[in-house]
Amino acid sequence: MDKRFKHTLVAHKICPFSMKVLTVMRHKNVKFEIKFIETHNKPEWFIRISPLGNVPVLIIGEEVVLSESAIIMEYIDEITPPKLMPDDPLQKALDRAKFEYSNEIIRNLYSFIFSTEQEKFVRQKECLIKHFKWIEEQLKDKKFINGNELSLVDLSFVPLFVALNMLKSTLPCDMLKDFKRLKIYGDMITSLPCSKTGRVPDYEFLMIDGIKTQNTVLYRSNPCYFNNDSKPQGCCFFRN
Amino acid sequence: MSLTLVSYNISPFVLRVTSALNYLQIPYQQKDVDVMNKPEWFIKANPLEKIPTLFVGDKVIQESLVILEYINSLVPNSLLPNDPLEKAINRSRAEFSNDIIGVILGLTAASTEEAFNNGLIELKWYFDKLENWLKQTKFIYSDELTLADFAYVPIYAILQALSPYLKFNIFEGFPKVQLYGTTLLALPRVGTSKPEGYEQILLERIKTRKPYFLSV
Repeated sequence: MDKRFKHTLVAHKICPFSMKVLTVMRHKNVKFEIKFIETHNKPEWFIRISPLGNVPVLIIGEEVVLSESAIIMEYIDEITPPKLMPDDPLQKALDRAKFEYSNEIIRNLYSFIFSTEQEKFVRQKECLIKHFKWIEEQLKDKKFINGNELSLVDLSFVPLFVALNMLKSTLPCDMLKDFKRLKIYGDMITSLPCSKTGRVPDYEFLMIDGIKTQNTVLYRSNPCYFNNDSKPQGCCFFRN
Repeated sequence: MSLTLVSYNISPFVLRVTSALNYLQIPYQQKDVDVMNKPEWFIKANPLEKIPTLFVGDKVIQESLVILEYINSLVPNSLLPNDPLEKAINRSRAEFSNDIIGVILGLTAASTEEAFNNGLIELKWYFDKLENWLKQTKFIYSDELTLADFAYVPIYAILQALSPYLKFNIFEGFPKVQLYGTTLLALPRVGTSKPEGYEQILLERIKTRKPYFLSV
């Protein structure tokens, strides 16, 4: 890796796209500094380099600022051979489509988790189930999304399963209970060392805190699970 | 490998791809679909139903910027830098145009004077950044055309279509931004990548939303 350049990752603790990049950087053992920012209280120096407030952002050297998780991930991959991305241009393009697909599902899930309106909540849940069905089909006969080897696409999906695990440990229902292959896959990729070091230790706490303070549908329908009260048995929002 | 581009007539993202394919003189077939009534075969191949989609044989590639990079791999002289950092910067420049397209489309839908003016302020912020870059280089990344430049073509196609209806020069104060547009649309086969009747179809679509700028 080019030592002329200092790499600083600016991230937000529960931002899934920040987690994606952090996971890749841990997997590749990149030396870097990390700075966490609060979205509701952005520091001046951050606003200057990312006026739109986007995270994650990778600052390289003194001047270069890269945003967009896909761009940052591929850059990190390229400067730390051997590359995880394929060389074949068509395969590369297919993988990039999968990055975008993982972004879409992750946005879907976060929208579901932090939804404050019932109608949107139900709609997002239906979208998610549709996506799960599609990925379940894609994982047939394969250990990883692309076959037998780990790829950047798998790391791209890590935040999805980290968030689903958070839901599973907080509420009594498992959104993946009808998706056997997805469960196995999710457990496998969230057990990778880079997946563990790619998220902050207080991730679950911060997510649950956000679910409560934003008065989400999830919280309003299941306050007992978010308040450490004694949990009733058999209370389940995810009816089939 | 046969290339089939699935498109719809006024899509700005399709225009990025057709500009590049035409400029690079890569042969392809094109299938226009009705966005409101997408055919079954298309939905089956594409869970996200995105347009443009490029079929390469039976493989499906989506996202205009991803398609551009794939197209680039088909020609001997790459339009992307080799160095990973420079390549990442070029890709960032391309991504930056996504926001600008969003703001401009927002302007065409703004129903009040206030919304329109707020959109203009936002657009000028982006133009300011572009002007600074373009003071240093002829094209968006360097003095030579690179892949990122195709990402900016639809910005100028849309603004060109709007200009007879705007009572002011949207590029006022941003001469380099204006010149860049002229340069881009004058590139061989790029300006003519706009489908037939583009301006008319675009304005018809915009009119249906009764935007403020058409009422002035």
